[in-house]
Amino acid sequence: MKERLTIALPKGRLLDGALELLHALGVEGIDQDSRRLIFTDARRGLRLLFLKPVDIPAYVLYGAADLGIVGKDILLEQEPDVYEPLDLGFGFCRLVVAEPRELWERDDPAKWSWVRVATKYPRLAEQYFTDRGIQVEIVRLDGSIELAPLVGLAERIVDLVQSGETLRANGLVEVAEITRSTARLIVNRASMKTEHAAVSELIDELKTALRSAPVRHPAGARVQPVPRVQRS
Amino acid sequence: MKSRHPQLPKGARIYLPDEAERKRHVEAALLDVFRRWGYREIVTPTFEYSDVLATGTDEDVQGNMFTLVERETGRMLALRPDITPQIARVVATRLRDEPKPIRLAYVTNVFRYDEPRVSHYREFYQAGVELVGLDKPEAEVEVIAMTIEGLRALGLERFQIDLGHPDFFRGLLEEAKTDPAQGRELRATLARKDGSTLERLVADLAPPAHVRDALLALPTLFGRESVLERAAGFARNERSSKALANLAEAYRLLKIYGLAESVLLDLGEVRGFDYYSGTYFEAYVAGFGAAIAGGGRYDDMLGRFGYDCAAVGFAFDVGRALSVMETQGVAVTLPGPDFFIIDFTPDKTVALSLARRLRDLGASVARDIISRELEESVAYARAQRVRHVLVVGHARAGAGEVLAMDLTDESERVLAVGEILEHPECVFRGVRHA
Repeated sequence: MKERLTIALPKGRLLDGALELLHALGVEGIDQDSRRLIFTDARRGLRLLFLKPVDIPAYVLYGAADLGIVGKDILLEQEPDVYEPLDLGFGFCRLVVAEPRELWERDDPAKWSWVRVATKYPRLAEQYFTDRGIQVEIVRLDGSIELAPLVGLAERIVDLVQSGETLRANGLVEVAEITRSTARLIVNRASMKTEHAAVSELIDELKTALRSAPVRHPAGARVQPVPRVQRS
Repeated sequence: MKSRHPQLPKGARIYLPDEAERKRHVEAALLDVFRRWGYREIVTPTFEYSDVLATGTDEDVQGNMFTLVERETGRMLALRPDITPQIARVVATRLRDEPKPIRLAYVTNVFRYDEPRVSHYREFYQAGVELVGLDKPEAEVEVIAMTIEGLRALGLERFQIDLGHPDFFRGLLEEAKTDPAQGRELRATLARKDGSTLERLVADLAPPAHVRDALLALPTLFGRESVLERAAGFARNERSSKALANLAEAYRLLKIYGLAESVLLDLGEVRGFDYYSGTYFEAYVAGFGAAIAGGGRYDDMLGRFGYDCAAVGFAFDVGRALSVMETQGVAVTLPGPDFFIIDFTPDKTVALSLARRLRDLGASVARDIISRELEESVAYARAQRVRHVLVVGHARAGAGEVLAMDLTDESERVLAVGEILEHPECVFRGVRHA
């Protein structure tokens, strides 16, 4: 049987929430411990791809997947031209500026005129600082961002925090919040039209499943958009 | 040092012969559709004064024009970012007294400083039409029907036309009394069908209850005919309800054309919007995340050039069409030359007279001018996708004879030169044009 729809799922911190949601829809037979990257759910005709979260927008934008589940942080960073019909509610986290405690004790963010930050989010970081008239040098890293200030690579970092435990463990303090993020459902623009019936049905089922699921992020944790420069 | 010769500016694109042939195939197929609907080709300049081009061009596109300076006057020139304003200007200034409707077609390159992605470059090619002087929905339906015929002519399947009307949303914005910044934010949010952000924006806006419900419903107001009924409940202002009536009429006509099942009504699609005064549409093909054709009604366009006149139009993005065809596995046959002549004699007169005779019949004929072994020449011919190889002056054929090899079925025969010259069409049945 030909799979009707392909869904890109994020490996890592959003995977449990995504699988739980799919489970509520009756999708079964996914072996998380397997190293396979593609699964097929014969009953619903879904094909599931397990991908690095940052790659998900590209798969959906180019139509290699019809739908995807990905954090709002990545959508804000990449601005892919896709539909984003559902806030899935789980995977709440915040994108913040952080710095070592010693620096924080004598630092005044109002006086920043030039900063160097290490981050996985070069675009959001640059936008945040330039919007405030602060010159910024971005050191783009792919992981272990917290290490950068400890070894003198950059004084500050821009990174996602969930509990704040990783920051604390590395002697870092949050200075400012840039944005908040939860998991989103994204849809390829052509799939929304050409697979209209199947996609709408899936979105409706997800909505129903979300309504009956407990709210998993703190009350009032509404996601604020970053004030953005008007694109010409 | 690495050679700098391979470098191209960002967004520039080369079409090598196979690619160029595919591109030409797409353009020819679309022009043929346009011709069959009675459209005639028009050619406009690649560059014009930038202020003239800017008239009738959306602001975001204006900001992305390639500009240069005219040497004599210092005036700013621009490469056309869009051909529709150019044609509108030509109609307003040169064709205004022509009887209506005017049907114009074009295939052209356009230039924009866009971020290249999804088969979209900074120089890209459009094939489209303008239909000037008709204000009835029949005009939109004609160009939608042509778009669908174009998609079929390209061999594409699983496509949908997304049909909307900007005034439905504009009427709601007026009722909600939004300022321009709020309007832009709402539009950007709707463009993503981002339900949660929409809820927040609408809550902040606190419009009358029926407008609130309408705005929140927009991302889901797409689908088949039932959308019109659902939307009717929200259309309490004149602008929105006129838009709906217009869409309903277009949809009724599409049903008569037998095209309704290729069309989705979508009141929540608000992209590329400033351009259009009435119904607008985009063509999507399964598996490709961007529209490959789009168009609609822009009755205000000619007015900007001093001539109030209704107009509709649409264009295919040729590069994207090519990309989608590749994704869907649409084969475009790329035949090589019909004949390849290898002449081992010193004076080559036989080769020249055969080539002349076959070319006169319309066949394509290439000659091997390099001296090499027969096997090497035949290998070259195969690589060029040649159909027939004619060998003159080789040990395998006598004097006054030609060894004819058919590379499509690997058959060989020996023919008299005179016979080929007298009756080439009998000897080589199935030769293109011959």
